[in-house]
Amino acid sequence: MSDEHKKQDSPLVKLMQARLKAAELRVRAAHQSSAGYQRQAANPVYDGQEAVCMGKAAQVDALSAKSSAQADLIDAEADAEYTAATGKEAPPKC
Amino acid sequence: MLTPAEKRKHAEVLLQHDQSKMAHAMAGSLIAQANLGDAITGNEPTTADHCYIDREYPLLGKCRYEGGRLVQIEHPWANGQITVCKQAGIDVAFQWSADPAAGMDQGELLRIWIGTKDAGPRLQWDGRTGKWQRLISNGNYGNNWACGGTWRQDKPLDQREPLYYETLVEADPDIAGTIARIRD
Repeated sequence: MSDEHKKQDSPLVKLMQARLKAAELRVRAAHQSSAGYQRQAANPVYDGQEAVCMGKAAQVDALSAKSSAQADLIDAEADAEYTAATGKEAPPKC
Repeated sequence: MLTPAEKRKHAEVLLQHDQSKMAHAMAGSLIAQANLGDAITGNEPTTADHCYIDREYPLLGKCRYEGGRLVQIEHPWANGQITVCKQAGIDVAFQWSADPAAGMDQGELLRIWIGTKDAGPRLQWDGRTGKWQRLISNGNYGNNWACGGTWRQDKPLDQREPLYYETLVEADPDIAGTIARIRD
């Protein structure tokens, strides 16, 4: 196996790949913003729109929380795999 | 293509100016990209002193960005010039991307509109294509001559696609001449 392939399969690269996947999920979570629905709920243009918009905002918030939780899970699993493979603690994120 | 060290600097500058959830997420993504790049090459993670991105736009010339923010414009389109332009019956509007969700494209110029007092919106430059096209206003532009009201693309009746022009001079020599005189 070439050095390049060894590097691609190293525990550190696998950890960083997982962290990138988690970071992209956090970007998705940030996109899933309910701010627009909340603004509209504060200024309803017809009777009942406030309830409709608050419902939509709750759905978007739930999706965002799910994406964030998935990102945290990926991070935690990747850190554990790195520790199992190397016997060392995973390097800090920053 | 930015190096991992430049990506870290971009993330650092982005967070100096923006503390939103999106800015944090985007900075985290850039740092993760940089860390992966360094892990593959086996380099020690470092942060660059600067991360400049240069872009060239019509009217403004060369623009330099850092962390999604404009730090230098070759031909600054200051308020004074816009006032002189308006006195000459021409208005210019710029639409910038301010959202950190745009990632490395944050801060780029999306569109330029040029309109006249008598005819409203007349010309549009699109950042995606880098080309100009002529517009015909429906007359409801009010005081916003550059991009107010509604308009349609100016195209020959027998053609489906509007005509695109590479430069402002090709699209409208009169307006281009007036703007060049005021700008320079």
